[in-house]
Amino acid sequence: MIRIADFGGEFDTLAQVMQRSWAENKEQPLHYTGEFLRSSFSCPGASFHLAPTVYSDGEILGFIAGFPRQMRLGAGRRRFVLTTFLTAASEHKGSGYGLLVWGELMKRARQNGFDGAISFCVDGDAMNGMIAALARLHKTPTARVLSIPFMGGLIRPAEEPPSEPAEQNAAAILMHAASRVSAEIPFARLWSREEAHWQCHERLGAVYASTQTADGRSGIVTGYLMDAGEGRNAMRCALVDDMLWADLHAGERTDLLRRFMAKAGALGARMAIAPLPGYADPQPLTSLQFRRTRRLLHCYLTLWNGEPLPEPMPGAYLDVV
Amino acid sequence: MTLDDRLVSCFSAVFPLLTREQILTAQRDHIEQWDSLANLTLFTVVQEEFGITLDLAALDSLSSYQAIAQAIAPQSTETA
Repeated sequence: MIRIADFGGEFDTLAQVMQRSWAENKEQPLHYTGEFLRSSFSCPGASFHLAPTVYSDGEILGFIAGFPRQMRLGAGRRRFVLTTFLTAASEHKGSGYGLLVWGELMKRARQNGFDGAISFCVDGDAMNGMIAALARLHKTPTARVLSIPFMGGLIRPAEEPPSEPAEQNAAAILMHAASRVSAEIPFARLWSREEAHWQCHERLGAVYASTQTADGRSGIVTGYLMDAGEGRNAMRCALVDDMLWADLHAGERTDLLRRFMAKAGALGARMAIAPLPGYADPQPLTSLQFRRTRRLLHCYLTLWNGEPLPEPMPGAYLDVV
Repeated sequence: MTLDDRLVSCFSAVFPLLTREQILTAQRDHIEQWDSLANLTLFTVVQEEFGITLDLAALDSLSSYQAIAQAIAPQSTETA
């Protein structure tokens, strides 16, 4: 019997299904472990109900997760689900189970009072060519609003962790710095204190560096560690989530990023990867020899409350998972 | 309209370039456009057209026109 149900929490099984499925992708896949997936569901507001899963006698055929995000859209505040981890089991690719759970997640999010959904598709991936038609099939107005390039920089091995000032107020700095994202950015994440605390301190592999100057200026870079590749190509990476320079000066921004990389390096990371959705000055990345990667991610917004879909955006502040 | 007429119209909606003759012998493995999106679309369109609910296993097992016709015949009031 094949059925769609709430995710049952079989994180290790899900990780195996994801690894087998994603290994067939053109890009070198990130190594999502059961522990990482479990940690992802520990974020505030996460729910197994927003992770519809296709099961066949306990086997996972399709999976997707949606995590709640409060977003500023134009002048208003909206509740979105950020869709991620979309997976169709290798043995059942082509049947449509992955697409089925995307539609099911849209339905559940709508029933649960969300205003819309954020979806990402890798440039060149089959899903990218399907999402518009898929959205029509599910009668969920969807538009591509942004394309996100990436930059990557090597991290030199650190002999010992850098000496750091106490950063006990990282969550407060994150919330403050996020509130300083320019109003010209029409789509920006809004944080609760619990979310900010989880982002900086509780998620698996969390790494951050923050700065607070004597005259009250502050900024923060957050991210998490993740292994990528297999065998000889295996490498621990630091994936940047938030690059909030706020009111720091140019040199302070570069120093902040350098400290983030040093902290990640001390934890074994050999490369840092940063998405560029357009909300943050990329100059500190350039200063530290980051280079553009081939990766390009397209961001799609789905709105179902009759609100007009936004035009393509000059930038957005959101996490790219 | 017969069951075949209605089912052919479902296929035509998903694969507009196929002739009726090609549709009657269509198999997923032999039609390049029959990808996961086309499969899910066909699954949805057939259910809507015939007012029936197919088991989700059909996404895997209904891999040809004939297989779909046989699956929906018992649930449809029409005859082929």
